[in-house]
Amino acid sequence: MDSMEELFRIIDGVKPGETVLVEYYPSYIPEFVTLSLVMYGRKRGLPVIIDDNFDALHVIHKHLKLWGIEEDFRDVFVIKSDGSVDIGNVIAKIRFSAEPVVYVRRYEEAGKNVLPQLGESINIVLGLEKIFAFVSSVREFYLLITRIQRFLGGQRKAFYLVNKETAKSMEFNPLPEMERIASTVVEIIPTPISGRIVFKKTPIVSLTGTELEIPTEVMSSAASHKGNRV
Amino acid sequence: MRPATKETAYRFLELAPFGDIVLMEDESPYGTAIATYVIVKYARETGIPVYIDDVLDSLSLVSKHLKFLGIEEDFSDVSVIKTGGIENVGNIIERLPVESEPIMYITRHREITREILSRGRHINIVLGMERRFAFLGNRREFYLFVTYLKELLGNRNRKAFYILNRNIIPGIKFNPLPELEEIASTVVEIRIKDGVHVVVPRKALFVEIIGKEFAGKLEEIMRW
Repeated sequence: MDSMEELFRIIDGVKPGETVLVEYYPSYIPEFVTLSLVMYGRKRGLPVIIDDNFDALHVIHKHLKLWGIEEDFRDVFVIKSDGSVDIGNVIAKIRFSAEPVVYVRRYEEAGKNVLPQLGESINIVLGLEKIFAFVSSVREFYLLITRIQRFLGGQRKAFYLVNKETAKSMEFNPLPEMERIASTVVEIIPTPISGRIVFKKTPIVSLTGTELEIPTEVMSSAASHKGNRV
Repeated sequence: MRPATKETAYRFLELAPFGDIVLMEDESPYGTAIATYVIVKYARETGIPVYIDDVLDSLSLVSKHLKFLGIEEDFSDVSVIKTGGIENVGNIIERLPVESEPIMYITRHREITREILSRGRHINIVLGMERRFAFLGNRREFYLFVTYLKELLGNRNRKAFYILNRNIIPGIKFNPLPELEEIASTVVEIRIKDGVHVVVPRKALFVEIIGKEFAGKLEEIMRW
């Protein structure tokens, strides 16, 4: 793959309503995936909403800077949960609760006013696995899971970025249930010069198991040439 | 590998005797949705009513997943015993709280099952049983459930398909699979191989099919 447009055409193939689980290993993958999706939203004229749990977007913002990429997410709607550094256009703030159920209810309240009006949109969820760190019982675990499942469908295309190592280390590892719920699951494996995307689950069943490689160069040059501001 | 035909699939469903349990262990993407679709379609075409045990919105997930695959299916003609959950799909005839005491749960489940089966032959699909087992806190509760499943075995008005998600099992305190594999008359695995779903029998009354791969291509299944 040698252009962003090729990547965008693959994102075009994601159907409205889909939940795409993006599993990654420690790397700059969340930075580049978030950036690509934001660029995609701009290019296709779709609003982008980021669920920013625990200042995840702040970290992404700072790391992109280290790559020489100035991206302020000014035109991105942000629903911020906990954390202290605001990035992007923060439209709702959710007070954190160590009780996941209370927390999700607050999230649903906050989202209810914003999301339905957006219609077709791109939703990026960052740091979801960290909410599962607060789960202390099977009951809480499945209350969260059934609520995440309820979001499947509708008009938005949602991308849940989950750090595999973090998720696996938890008492209640959300990955198996998340993989079951998601309509598309990709694993991105970092190499020194690229990201290798493996399609573990897709409604285009015949593509299951196929791979795709994106050179880091393609993304960083697209971003630094202000390809993101088209 | 030639994909199995509709006739082969239906013959397999036909040959599973009433009174028995077919355990389907799914480790594939979309396997549960496709299997549920095929069984319900078979039941409709052969005129056998279906009731589904839906644990924690597993049926809603099947319905949503089918939609992404291009299949519209609302299960409106299927009776549903709903355990927990918040998304309603199908004709819900009973609701059971997922957290209730196993004894209470089983007693109520037994009553409603008897009521359904007193009306004649049914196909029963159980979705998300592993989620119910995840809630069990000790070995006594675990064996209460296992014993109840054995009790249902042999009812001549019931042909049951337990579709379990295998990838969830390692996170469950009391793994139900070994017991279920013993109770079931037929055990199959659903996998994906080179972009095609395959059903592999592991335990069967007809030994010649054990270990063989029966491929099911979605595009063809949709035309059945």
